[in-house]
Amino acid sequence: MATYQRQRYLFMTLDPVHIGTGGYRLGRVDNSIVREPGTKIPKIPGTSLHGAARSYAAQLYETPEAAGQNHDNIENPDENPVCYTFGYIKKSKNGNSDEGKIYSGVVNIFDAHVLLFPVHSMVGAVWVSTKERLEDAGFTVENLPNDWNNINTAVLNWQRSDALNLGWLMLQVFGQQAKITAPTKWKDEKRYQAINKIVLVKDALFSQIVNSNLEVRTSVAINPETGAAEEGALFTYEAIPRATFLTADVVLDDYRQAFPQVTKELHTGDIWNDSLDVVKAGFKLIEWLGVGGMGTRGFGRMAPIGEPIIESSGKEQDNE
Amino acid sequence: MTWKAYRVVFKLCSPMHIGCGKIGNVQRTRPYVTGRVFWGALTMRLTRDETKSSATDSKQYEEFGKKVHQQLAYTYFYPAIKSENPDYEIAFSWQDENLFRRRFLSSYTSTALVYPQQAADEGLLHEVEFISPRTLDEGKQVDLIGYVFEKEGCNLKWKDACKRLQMGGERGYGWGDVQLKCIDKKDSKDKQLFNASYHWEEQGDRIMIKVLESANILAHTIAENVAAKGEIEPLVGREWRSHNSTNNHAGQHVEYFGLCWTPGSIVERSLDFAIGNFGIWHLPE
Repeated sequence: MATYQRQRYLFMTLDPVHIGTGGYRLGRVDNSIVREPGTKIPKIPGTSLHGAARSYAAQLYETPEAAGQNHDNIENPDENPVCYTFGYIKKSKNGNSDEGKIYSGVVNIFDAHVLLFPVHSMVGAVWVSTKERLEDAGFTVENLPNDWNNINTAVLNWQRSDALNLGWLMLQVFGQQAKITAPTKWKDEKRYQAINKIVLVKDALFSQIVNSNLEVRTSVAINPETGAAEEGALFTYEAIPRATFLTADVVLDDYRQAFPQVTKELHTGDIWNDSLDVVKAGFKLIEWLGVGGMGTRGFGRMAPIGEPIIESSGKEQDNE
Repeated sequence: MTWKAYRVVFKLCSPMHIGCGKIGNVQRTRPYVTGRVFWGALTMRLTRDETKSSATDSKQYEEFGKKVHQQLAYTYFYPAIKSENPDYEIAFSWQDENLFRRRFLSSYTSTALVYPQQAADEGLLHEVEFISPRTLDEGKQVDLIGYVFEKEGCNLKWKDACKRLQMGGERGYGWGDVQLKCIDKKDSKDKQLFNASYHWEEQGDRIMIKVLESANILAHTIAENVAAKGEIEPLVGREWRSHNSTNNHAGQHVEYFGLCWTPGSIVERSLDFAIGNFGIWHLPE
């Protein structure tokens, strides 16, 4: 059986992260960010993670030509772990791609979805999520009230009975305290443990809370001669705020079973035994080099938290 | 010959792109999953699950692809929303195309970045249309429903393979991710498919679909000798044939399946169609 494995990463944003829509959509800001269709919750698309992971892994392996749109400058792409992992297109020497070599990659990188979203409240920062999102990500959520049907009510993982505000929104609170347990590989991580206040809200309210508490900045271009604001150059942009937790899946489907032996010593000390190691190395560099736009304004860094968890392959209900 | 029928429901977990051509820089999607896409995803999974070493020779896929043709028949898969009664509300795009488009289809625009420069690469802006995993109006979960018919003696582990399928385009970016919700075996007396306008029966070695007068067809249907109202398109698809002398890499070979009525076309009289390879319907010879 060809190697098939599905992993789930937990990320925490260290800076605001801006994955722009191109700025052509109408919205409350000039430069809006990508959202999930339907729920309108911001996300980091798989395309962005895929591109960043490939580019950084290629730099780490000291073959930057293994990233980008064409890989004609790679001498032997089958022996390059980055090309092997993410796929490549190499034209023939006469420039005809039909006669060249094309391989699709052996990893699929999925969108990163918001799991725990930081919001300010009267008790300081709290992280908002939903039962469905946490359970989908592999968390266990216990001790929820049986009669929790009201969208105006939140459930907390600490003891409190007074109402609580999430940004501008005031919610009633169930006295019953929920118990939320992260998967083993994540629960002891310092960055996760720093979250001691989690608020569970109904799924229908989550989008409203997230969208009301995104980071929105306003900037203006400065005229270097006058030192004053340039006319008509004011613009606003939004971003997923720092300390947001997101999860993203990675599937390895190594149909080629020919991962090249990595003899090169990587200066990070990592050892690449398969394509999942290449992806992991690329993801680790996002913590330093960032993903998405506004990188020069200090946006984009995001750290993987702990080791990825391995997912079981779906649950079949066969009613035969 | 005995066939068993199953209703298969997938939860759509990410955007799904079933390519049907390009307009400008917009890659359009079909509003349903064709039998060919399902066949391709299933063949890929079955081949890789059963192959001990590398699966880079298209002959390996060809072998399992033929087995799927021989041992299974299947319908196209359509978006559906879980409701109380009936249990799923199936959304056929032709019932109200504008509403369908507003509820189920969206698009994603992106360009390649050059990371060292933190800037957009030139000339690579593109837009890909997709079926949304959540409805755009109410944010409801979108599922995909279709039927699979299994021939007696089938030795393909297709039910297990269905747990790990990804269908359609942009899979490298996580698109087309589906989670198997259920495979419900249909009672042998229950011959209805999707709704009351469609019934199935076995006839020798094949599955026949009875379509009532003025009903819409639910799969590409070979146009020859079929009187219908709707659109006709040449059905083509890309394939990977590593044994070809040219065009032998992934997706380089273009295969032609004939002129077909598109799903949603209306038959002028009641007709019986056989389900052929790739879920394409045709009149029995």
